[in-house]
Amino acid sequence: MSIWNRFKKSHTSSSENKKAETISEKIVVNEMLKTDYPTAIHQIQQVFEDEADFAIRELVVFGNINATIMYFSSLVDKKDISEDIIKPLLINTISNHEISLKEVVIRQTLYHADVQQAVQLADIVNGLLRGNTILIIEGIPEVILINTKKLEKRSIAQPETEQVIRGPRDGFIESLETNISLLRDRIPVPEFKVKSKQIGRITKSTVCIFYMENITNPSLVEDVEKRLERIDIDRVLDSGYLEQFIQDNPRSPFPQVKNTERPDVAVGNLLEGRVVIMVDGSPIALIVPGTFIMFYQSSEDYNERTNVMSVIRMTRIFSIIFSLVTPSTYVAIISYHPELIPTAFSVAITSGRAGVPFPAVIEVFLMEAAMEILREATVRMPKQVGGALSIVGVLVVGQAAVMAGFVSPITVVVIAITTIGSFATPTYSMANGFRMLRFFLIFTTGVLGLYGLILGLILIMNHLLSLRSFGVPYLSPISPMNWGGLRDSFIRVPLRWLIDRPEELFVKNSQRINNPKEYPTTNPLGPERHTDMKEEDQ
Amino acid sequence: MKHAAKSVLLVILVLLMAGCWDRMEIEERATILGLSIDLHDEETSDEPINHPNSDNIPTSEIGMVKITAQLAVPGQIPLGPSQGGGGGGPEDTVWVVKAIGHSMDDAISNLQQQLGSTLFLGHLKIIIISKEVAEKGIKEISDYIKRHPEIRRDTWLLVNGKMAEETLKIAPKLERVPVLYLSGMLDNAIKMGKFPKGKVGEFWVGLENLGQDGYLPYITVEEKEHIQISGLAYFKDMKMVGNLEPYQIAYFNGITEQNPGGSKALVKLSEDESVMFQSTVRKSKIKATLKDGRPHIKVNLKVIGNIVEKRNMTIDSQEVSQKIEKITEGLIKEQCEQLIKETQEKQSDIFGFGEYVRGSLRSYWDTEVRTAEKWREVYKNLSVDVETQVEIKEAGIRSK
Amino acid sequence: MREPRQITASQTMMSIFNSMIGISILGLPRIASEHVNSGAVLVTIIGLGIMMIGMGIMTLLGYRFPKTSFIQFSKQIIGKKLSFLFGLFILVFFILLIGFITREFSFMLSSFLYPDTPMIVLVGAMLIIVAIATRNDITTISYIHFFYFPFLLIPLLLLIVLALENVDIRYVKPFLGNGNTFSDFLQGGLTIAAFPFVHIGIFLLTVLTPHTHSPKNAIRGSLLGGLFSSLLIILTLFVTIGVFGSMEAKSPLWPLYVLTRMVQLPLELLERLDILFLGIWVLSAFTTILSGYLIIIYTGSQLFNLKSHRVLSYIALPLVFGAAMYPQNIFHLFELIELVGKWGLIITMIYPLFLLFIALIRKKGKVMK
Repeated sequence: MSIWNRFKKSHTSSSENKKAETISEKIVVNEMLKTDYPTAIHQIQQVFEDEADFAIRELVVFGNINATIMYFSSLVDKKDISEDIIKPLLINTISNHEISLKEVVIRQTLYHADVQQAVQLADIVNGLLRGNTILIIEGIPEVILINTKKLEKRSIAQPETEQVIRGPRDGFIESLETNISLLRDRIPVPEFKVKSKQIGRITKSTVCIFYMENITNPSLVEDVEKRLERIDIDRVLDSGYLEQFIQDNPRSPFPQVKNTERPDVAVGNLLEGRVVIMVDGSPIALIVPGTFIMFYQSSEDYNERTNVMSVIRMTRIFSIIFSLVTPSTYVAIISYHPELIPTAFSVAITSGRAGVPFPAVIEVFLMEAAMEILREATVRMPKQVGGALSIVGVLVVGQAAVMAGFVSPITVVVIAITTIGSFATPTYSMANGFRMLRFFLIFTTGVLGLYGLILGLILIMNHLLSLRSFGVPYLSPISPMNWGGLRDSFIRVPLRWLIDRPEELFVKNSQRINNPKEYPTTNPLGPERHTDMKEEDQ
Repeated sequence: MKHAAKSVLLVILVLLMAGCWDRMEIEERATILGLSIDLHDEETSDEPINHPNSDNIPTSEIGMVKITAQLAVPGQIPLGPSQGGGGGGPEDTVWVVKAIGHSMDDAISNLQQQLGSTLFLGHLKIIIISKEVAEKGIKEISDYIKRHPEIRRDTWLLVNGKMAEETLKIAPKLERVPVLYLSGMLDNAIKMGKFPKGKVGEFWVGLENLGQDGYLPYITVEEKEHIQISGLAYFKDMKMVGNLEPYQIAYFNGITEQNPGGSKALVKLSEDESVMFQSTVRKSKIKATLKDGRPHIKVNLKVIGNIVEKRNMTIDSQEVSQKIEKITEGLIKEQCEQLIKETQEKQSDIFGFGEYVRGSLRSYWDTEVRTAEKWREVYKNLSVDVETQVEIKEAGIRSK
Repeated sequence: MREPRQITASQTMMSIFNSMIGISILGLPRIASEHVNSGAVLVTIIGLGIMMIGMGIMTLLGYRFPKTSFIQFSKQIIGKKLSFLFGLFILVFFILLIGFITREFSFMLSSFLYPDTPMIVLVGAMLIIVAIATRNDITTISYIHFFYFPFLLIPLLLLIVLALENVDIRYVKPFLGNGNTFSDFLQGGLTIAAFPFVHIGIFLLTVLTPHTHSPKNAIRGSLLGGLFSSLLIILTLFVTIGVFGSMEAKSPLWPLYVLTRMVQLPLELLERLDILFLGIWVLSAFTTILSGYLIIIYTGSQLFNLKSHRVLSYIALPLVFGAAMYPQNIFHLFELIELVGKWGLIITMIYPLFLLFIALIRKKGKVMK
């Protein structure tokens, strides 16, 4: 693997000198706004010459002073502007002449909460484009920026990709501010830290890093920041863009960064000592470091009964292994080692396959490909069409193909089981990885039978074992093993036994439960009390 | 270097893609389920494939062999439970092919010559050899079976009383594939305790061990449609020297401690009184000791069993049951001694007494015996003591 | 991201176990009973006892020179030139040995399952996978061993338990075998001590010890690993002889593999356990060859003062491959394995003993408490 890494290294250094680029061709870096009132207005107007939604409102404030308000009508709340900016400016008069005009405006006049000042043209333009209203008053060299941003956003709804039966129903939305509020609301402690930075030369997306100062290992936070710092791209449209840049091994089929739409999942991981990353405009939060077992955990596991959820977790792991190896095992047996199945069954399979024109490898490959096409088609289709499509798929791929002697009935069974198994993964990105590997295994099996299958599996396992996410072994807590971690891996022991935070994260404070032994079974309504009552009765 | 590694990988991938050397679909294989080996006595010669056609071809000690194979016909055996009416009889589902040759592989090659698809022996369940072949010696056959990587040790090697190929031609009504019926029958017989474990693997173990001889199931075909387990064929080295009667298998199972028990014995108590005794557990302790410089075997056999049937008597007390136990003990002792004597006469130590001697009397073995031939000599006059003990546990759910 | 990870005692133990359970034990019952028939168990105990002595010597050396590799401290002890010469011997020896065991495994595959597949593919596929795996650092490789450990252990235990009911106790008697002399046992013991897995198990210590958490961990891990795998090897040998008898155990080339083809679960559907055990044998071959290959490239990198063993991962490939393709047929291969293995005793037993001796005399390294 790492030869390719070394190969790549030579290219990366060249991109660093691009940082000095200007924000826009129209604005020179560090250009100051002219202090002269009409020139200043002209200067700004020039930048937004033909913008359709650029609005200018001229006022005369405090009786005799000229002022101008500018804003993008598409980005602002006009009610805010009228009520909190224009109205006080027009009504108020200057009563105290000892303080400067600027102070009067900012301290005594404006009602709005979010008021800033700026002198650089770049900041002003930036502010305008981010939904600020700017106020230029004759005689004040600074421009006053008032945050009147208002964007349409959807309401908080249950995330469709991670539905739970028992658990909170809220999900992140596209607005970062709302998302932060969802998290802050759940972690009302000052140790909850939010760091923000802008990534994307053009989109200038706000990226926030969340962590618990008293839990998370500081070197992890440092590493996350360093990795984010390195990103230099024109756009960040979704957290997925960031994921691609910060993950350890971009070639691996396995996701090394967990993503979630659920605030409760994010909070849970924050409290385990992980770092959450969010981007404005994306409802999906990233959680690092991601380990293999995290992708098989669902937030519901912790809300329901422990033994039931443990069985369900094991079912998930089993189903993924099952769906990974079933088609290739089938190929191995049919094409290479028919002696491995019971004789009566083998004789029957032979009958089912008589007349099928392809070898098992091709057959399975075709069917798997058909299945993938069907899946891809139904995912992208509108719901109404999707239903029809799946009926056609079932009929054509299943029934008709067998009837036509195109595939053998057992192949259809194998593919069906495989496909169902692959749906049992709670994480989409992980399921995708395994889908791809299934084809790889079919290929190796097609070449070398069972030997190829085992070698393929060894290759995959070795890759998993050598994978690291932010320095954390991907397969921890299984390898390297730690017993504390295994309690929350294939099984989930009762919460009161989950005393420590994950060992592999090297957290500052590992205690999750302080008094693990203080949950005695008391018996307030038990027999003792009944006897008491009886005695009283007598 | 980096590019070199990449291109090497690419070349390997391409090579692999051209591969699939051993891929052969299950339906492309001619799956042989059963084989039978007979002597070929007629003068007709085989198709010369592996050798020029002349008379002085070295053959095995048994001469030319005739091989009959039972193949499953693809497409004839439906998947899953058969829907009513459609299922054909065994005549449609299997195909019986014959070939002759100078040796096993020669005959198999001749068989292959007749078939479109490659022979596949991975599912070979049963190999039947005729009594004549077994008596002449199965050294070459055994070697061939052992050497062939596809044939497993859990294959049944059977001896048929008459023509072996008859067995493959019969068509039992219960199973679509006759061979599967036969192997199922044998497996079931073991499960019911009526037959000792005797697949080819166990046979070889007995054959190779110095102080032991091999035995094989002995079957007969009745009325061309009916297979019957009718005893054990026992071997002296590679040659069959005799066979046990079916009732004797019970005593053989007892001495060699085959469990679970299951064989029955009709115990005659007096002129008109008798019970049917069925064993459930057999325990046998065999000890080899040195007595006057000669080995002496002591067999201590304990049989636990039930009464399943009776005639003209009442079983209602411990006294009666003890009486039955006593008489049964006598019967078992007598039969076992008889059985051992029979094999001693034929010098075939199927019980593996020699192994006890080898294991326990190391110095005697090292000085006096050392080889299998020598052991057979010793075995002929070996003194064997059988002590039996019978315990009746149940007598059904009737009170009398 | 945090402090450098190091190998623990249990990882050392499992690495040694995985390296020792491999292809060689498939043929062990045959070779053991060829030498002393039913004394096979005893002769194996003798052979493995010799191995434990070798391991002891190696751990003592590792304890005296913690955090230094074998090549480094041999340089300290006997000087640059001599140690380089011996290092070269070690390198050549292991290249041959790993090549041969890869070939033996491929032979087994070829004869049972892949008669038409070119040997070059069977050998090459395994070696390439191994070479890729050795691109990782040694800690990761110990993780790999750690992870595969239960996959080897559990089926082996299953095999032993399932076969145990077919064991006939008279076949393993007499314990001393029939008609054996003392020299038979010595010969047999040496042959078993010259088995490839013994060399790999002992020399793997030289790779792992410098990377273990503390020398104590290394000692504990290696002794436990040696004992535990010896125990399992003896148990498998016991059931093989017990099921086949020492005479029949001589006739198949790989009796243990034949045994795995024979055992059955008491369930109809899982009639044949081959599919499971074939996977296990491939895995065990992989772990063994991985360890051996690691020894080659690690020793090589130390010998030639390279930065990391990774540099040699692919360079060693053609050499091992060449060694694997050299033997003409199975008999030639077996002869070569025995020959090379016996000469290897000088490298894995006598040479370290010699080093330890010199180190004691010249008082090099950490003095024992």
